[in-house]
Amino acid sequence: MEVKVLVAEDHSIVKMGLTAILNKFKVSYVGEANTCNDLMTELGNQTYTHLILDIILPDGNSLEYIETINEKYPQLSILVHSMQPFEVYGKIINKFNLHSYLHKGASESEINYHLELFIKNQPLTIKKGVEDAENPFSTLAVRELEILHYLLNGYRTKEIANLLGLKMNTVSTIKSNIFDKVKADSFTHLLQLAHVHQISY
Amino acid sequence: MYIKSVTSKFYCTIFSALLLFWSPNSFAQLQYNFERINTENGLPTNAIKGLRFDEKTRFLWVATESGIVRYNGHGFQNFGDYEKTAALNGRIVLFEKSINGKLFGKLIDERVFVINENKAEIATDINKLSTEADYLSYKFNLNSILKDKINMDIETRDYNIDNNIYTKIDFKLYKFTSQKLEFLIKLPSDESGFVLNKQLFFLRKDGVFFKATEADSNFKLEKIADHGKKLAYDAKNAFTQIKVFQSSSQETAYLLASNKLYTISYVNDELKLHLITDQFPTNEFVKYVQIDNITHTIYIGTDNRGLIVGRPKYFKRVIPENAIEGISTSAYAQLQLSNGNIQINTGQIFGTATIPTTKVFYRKSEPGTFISKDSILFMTNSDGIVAYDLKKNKIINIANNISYNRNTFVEVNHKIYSFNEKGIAIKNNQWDYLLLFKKMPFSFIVYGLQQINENEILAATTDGLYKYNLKKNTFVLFYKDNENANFRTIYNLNDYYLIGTYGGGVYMYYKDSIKKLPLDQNKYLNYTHCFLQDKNKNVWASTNKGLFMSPAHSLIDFWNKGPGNIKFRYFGKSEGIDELEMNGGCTPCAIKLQNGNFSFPGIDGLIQFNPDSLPYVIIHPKVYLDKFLVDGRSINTNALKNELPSTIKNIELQLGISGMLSQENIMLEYKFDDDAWMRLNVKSPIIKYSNPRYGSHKVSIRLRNTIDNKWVQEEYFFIIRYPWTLHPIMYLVYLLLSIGLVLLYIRFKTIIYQRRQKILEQEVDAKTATLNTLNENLVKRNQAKDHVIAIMNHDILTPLKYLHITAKNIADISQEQNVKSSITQIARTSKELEYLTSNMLNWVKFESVEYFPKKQPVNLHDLVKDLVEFVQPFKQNDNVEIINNVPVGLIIQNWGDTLRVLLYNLIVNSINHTKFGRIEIAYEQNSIAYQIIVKDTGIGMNASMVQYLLSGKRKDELEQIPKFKKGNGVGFQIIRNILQLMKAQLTIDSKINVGTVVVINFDLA
Repeated sequence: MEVKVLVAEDHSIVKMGLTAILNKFKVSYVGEANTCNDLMTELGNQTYTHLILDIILPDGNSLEYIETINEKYPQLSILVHSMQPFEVYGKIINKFNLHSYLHKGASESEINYHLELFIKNQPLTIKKGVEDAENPFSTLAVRELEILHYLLNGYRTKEIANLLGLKMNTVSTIKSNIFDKVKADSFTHLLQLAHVHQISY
Repeated sequence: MYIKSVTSKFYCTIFSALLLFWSPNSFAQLQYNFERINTENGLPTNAIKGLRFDEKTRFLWVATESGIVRYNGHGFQNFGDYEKTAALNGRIVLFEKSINGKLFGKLIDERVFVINENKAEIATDINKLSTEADYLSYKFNLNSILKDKINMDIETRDYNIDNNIYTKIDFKLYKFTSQKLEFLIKLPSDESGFVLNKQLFFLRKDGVFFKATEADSNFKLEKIADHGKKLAYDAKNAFTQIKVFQSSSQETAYLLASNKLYTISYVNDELKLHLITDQFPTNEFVKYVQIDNITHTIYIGTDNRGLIVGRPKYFKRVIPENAIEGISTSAYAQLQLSNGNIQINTGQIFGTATIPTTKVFYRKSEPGTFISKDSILFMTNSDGIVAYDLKKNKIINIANNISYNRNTFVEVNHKIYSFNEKGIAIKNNQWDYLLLFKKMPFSFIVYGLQQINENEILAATTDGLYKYNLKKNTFVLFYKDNENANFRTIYNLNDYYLIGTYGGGVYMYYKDSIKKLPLDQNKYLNYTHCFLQDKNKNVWASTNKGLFMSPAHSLIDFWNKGPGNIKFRYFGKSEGIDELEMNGGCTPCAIKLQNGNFSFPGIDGLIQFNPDSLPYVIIHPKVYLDKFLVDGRSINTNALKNELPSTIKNIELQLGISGMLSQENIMLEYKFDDDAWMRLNVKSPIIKYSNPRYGSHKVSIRLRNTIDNKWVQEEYFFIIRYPWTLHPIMYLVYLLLSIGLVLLYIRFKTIIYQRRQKILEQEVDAKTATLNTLNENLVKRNQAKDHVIAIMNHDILTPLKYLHITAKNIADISQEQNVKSSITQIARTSKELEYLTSNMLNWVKFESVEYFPKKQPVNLHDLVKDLVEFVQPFKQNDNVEIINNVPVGLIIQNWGDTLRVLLYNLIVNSINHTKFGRIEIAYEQNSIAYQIIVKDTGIGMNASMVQYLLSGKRKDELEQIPKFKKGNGVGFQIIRNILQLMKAQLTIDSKINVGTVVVINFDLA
């Protein structure tokens, strides 16, 4: 079977490095997408068997698109490759039926191994014990992580509601929940906590 | 100056009860003492111009050439102290009594002064007395205006008979009619005129009396029959006067003829003369005579020798008729002899009896004598103790077996006891000592003895009061005076015992208790000698300054009721005692003579008197307010109801005491408002107050005759104005002012606080704004920094990682050696940059966070493995081997990223200093900690370098520049910071050219 991998990544050198690794595993084609918009366009233009997806892209949070992608391309195997902590975002694997979550801080050998299993469509045994139950952000739901992304980028409630098509009250409630869960008493504190727990935005 | 009575004879019979029933116009002849009072005694001048004794106020008014003065028996008071009253110190022309009883006088400037009770004042109802008519009109209160302008005669004499006024001018007698003075008759000489029983008489200076008769408008003088007295007249002696004195036509007329003074009466058409005294001073130019009809005191005004006061003399001083060589006339223990004379212990005889009698004191004896109930006199002289039988007039015993210095005797149960300085003896056949004193003070003398009960004898001694117990035969000190005064005499007063001392006053003993009596105001009683009670139950006491008499019940009342007002009467010079100092310390002291007279021993003779014959008239003294001085300025006492200024500092009340009593017989006290009564000296009755309070005040003054306990009280009121500053309204003003000031102060402070608050608020606002700005900037910067960190994490670190992967993959597949080498270098450099960036990123993150994340499980072996793989290219050559000795699968609780950075730095550091040999990473653990060890065989470090790496001090702070230092030290600085955050300890053990062992120690907890 021909393996076609789409790499949705805004850093070209990362794409280049991933391509170099993927080439080791007889991948027939490696496509590239720099933004969420590119991602959706490229998926429409070609048929890919695998998608390596960065969460934070220049035009938004790619998580918002995963459900759509799953609906449109149910055969597409997706690996999320991000700097976001696994213990926080690892829950999206089950949420969106992903193949796996590969942290960008992983070692080179770990990356190679992880990608090989992904290309070969082999399941990845998730190591237990590396999850950080103490990370307050790990308690956030996927929707809360989406809102968190906007909050950390300085969006106001109304703007977030407009962007995500939600009611302001809903956004306010989610926002309040985020602050309660991570025990942040101010936006600055929230930023600081995000910084400590390596939440990129 | 004291003029002794002319006569030296004193007849006791003269002291008769007749004195008790005295009539003003009829009094028996008295003995008199005459005392001259002149300028030396306070009289302004010795030239007397008038004399009036005011029986109502009992003041003697003396008109002089230097003004009018008032005499009260012990002092003068003048009235011309101030400018307005200065005329009262001027020469006085006449001093008369008007028909309505007012005393008035004419001054040299013809102004008139009047006597208003206690004061002399310029008259306000008349300006001047210029003519005889003015004088008569004023004196007799005549309404008609006399047209005759006859000048007044200096020696004006006028007579009033049934309101017919006669006047004598220039040897002519006139009668006053409604419009003129009618000439009656020319007088042959300067006759003295007087009126008796509405009959006008004249006395010619040769002693012939004439009666003026008027019949058929013929006025003539008729010589009247002889009055039976031969009036001594010596024409050659100008002072031998025969003169009549009559103050006014209604008063007693006195006739003075040489040394005799008579009262004149006209009864049954006969003139009769009654002798008052034949001791009247002669050789005096007498111009005025006044007599106090209560005390019979005679006041004599002389032309140029001042005033002479004659006082009845009720006390006789008896001195020895014949002096004994070497023995003074000072008297002590007395014994009345059978002829009436008195012999004292010294042998001296006092008295004038010439009947021969046996002298009992045949030689000088001690003053302690005693007469037993069976009339045996005991005395001590140089023979010993002599017993003399007074009935048989002979000595019955002389004992010389005990001390004869001084013995004092007492009789108890028919036994005679003697007390002397050695002990107590009893009279048996001889004298036998019952008790010998063990130790007594030097000069111990027993002065007086008194049996006080069946078993006890009270002894007055030089050492105090002792008690001798007859049964116990003990002699014990009972009481000692505070001033160590000698106890001299004991007198039994109905079982109360009066005890006299020398310097300690008078005590009273009763039933084993003793009390001290209050002293008189002059403290004469401090030295009290003898006591003697008369039949009227009056106790007499002699002192060094005269005699005191006090009713016995008054003294006993003292014991039972307290001091209260002990009644007493003092007798001194004013009462006729010419030598006041008495003697004591003898037994007996005072004695009662067979004729009832009392005889007190004195310093110069005996003082004898009959206590039953003394006039006991009680005169009540009065007090007057003479002057009220405010700050030295006299205030009219009638104006005291007006408020005095509030600024006054001193108030002085000068009092006038009337009564013509000795000052010793007046008790004067005062009090201010409700204070306690204070004693005031009668000699100088002045009350002074300093800084009196504001408001109404009352000065109460009371006085009494000491023999009477009835006080006469006067009260004077005055008001000191409240200063306006203390007016009640001012308190309200002060309150309002205070409140205003407080409010003003509060308002002032409030304004200041508000201003400060405003400024502060502005400053705070400005500061807050600045801080907010700074904070916003800081927040922004912090956010920017966080964003940079996020970017570094996402946009630098990750690309570097994939740059390395990319470069490495390219190098792996590149066939061109040069390209491969370059790409390999790129791969190395990118990896190194990734680590370096990761290092810096972690460092920055650690530096910037407030708290450290929790530890996580870390696979240490894998971590070291990755590091070893990564740093392999950094080795200096292939002679260096890097070995991972960490057990496979070792999981530790740590911070993975941080630990990676730490170990990376340590390993790279070792690589940089190791040219050959090995670098080993190992793990060790004990019960409390585990260590990660990085050991190399490099060039090693000296101690300075190790210290530098551990402490982080700058090079120049170390003693010497560390050798073998490579790099900039950032690696170890990061290590130190990370270790500090991880709470781990770093130790370095390094030897030069041997190697270095770095141990990181983590607590297991």
